Amino acid sequence: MAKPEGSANALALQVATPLGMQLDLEVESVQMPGVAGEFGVLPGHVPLLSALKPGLLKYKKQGAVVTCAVGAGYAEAGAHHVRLIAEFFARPEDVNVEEAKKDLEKAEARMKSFHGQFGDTEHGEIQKELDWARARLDLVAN
Amino acid sequence: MANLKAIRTRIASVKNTRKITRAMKLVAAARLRKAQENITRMRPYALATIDMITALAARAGEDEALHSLLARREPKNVMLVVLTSDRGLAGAFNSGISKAAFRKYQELVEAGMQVSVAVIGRKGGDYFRRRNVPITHTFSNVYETLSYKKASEIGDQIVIDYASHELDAVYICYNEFKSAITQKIVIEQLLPIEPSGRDSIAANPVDFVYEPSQQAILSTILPLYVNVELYRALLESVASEHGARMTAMDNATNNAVDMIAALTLQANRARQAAITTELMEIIGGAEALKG
Repeated sequence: MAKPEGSANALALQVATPLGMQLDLEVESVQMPGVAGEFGVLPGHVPLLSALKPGLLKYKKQGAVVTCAVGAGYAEAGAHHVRLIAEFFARPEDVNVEEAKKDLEKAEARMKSFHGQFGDTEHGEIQKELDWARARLDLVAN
Repeated sequence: MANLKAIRTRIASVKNTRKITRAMKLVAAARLRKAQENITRMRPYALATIDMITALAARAGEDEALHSLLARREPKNVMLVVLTSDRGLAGAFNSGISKAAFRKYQELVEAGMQVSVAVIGRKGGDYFRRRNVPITHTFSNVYETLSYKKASEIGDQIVIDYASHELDAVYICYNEFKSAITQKIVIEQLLPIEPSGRDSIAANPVDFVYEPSQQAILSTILPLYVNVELYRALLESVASEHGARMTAMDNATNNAVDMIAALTLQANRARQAAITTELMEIIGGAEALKG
């Protein structure tokens, strides 16, 4: 895939998941849920590679802010592009609230019965499920 | 002239074969549509992931301290991962990939390497067993319930073997899906990761800002590379298999149609010959009575 390259004062934003290319457009700014906290990218950003946790992705296009939910993944940013690879992606209209609530309950129950090492792979998996369920619910609550 | 009854039985049997091949063709076509959709959806994600990781690997260099999958060693122990199908009747699909993999195997052995083979799919297993090639891993029942999870189980095994120095290089052989009629046999190096874009880094040596840290990102993203690449190859292979089977069964159906036409002609000739002989006998008899 060719690296997206936006024009001078814009960012080319691409979001790919195993289910296909979800977003491919030019935006003015992007906000992402990094593992070390939420961060924003504006045109002219220094090269950055960040791991993402499930959460909300916000981008501004022609002054309007659009919010979506993304699963765990990675983001690569440069002066004129932002590229995301994520496990999941959802727009507000894609979210099935019942399903998200069920997923949240399931993840909470798993977390309660989890007795392994904090921070090991399984713990990370459960945390991801929790965050992804919460991200979807946050998205519809917005 | 062949016996008329025998020809008619033959026609009936070829008609049955035609029914079967036509049904198989339709099933393969339906499955192909689904498989093709899966692979076209997966490709952008896989290519973006691989692009990101090879660029990352180029910046990280060959520092094994950073991550075990970045290490480059003299290739002594090499593994070939061969993707074949569980079922046959798919034209040259399995024989093509097995032959290509076997050639690569011989090439590597001649270069003095210790080569092992991991086979996914029953057909490839049969092929390599017949040739007494040591098979270290066989992964069966992968295609029935193909999922990313299944691919990561295989991928994790490869990562463990590589990290523990049991393997120095891993190649993957699969059929890349081009269209329903064409598949391309691909032999790719899976590990060590081939860094890309060294030149552009030399021109622009600014390193990435890593969040949370370079090491933390490498430790999770490099295993992802193997799994994503493997999963993509599996999806390519499945789509290719259905395409190959559809084409093979289409050809078989056409051949059956041609054969039925030829046999029908033969049957008609035999029938006509029988009638003519009978007529000749009747006329001969009548002439004799007149005499």
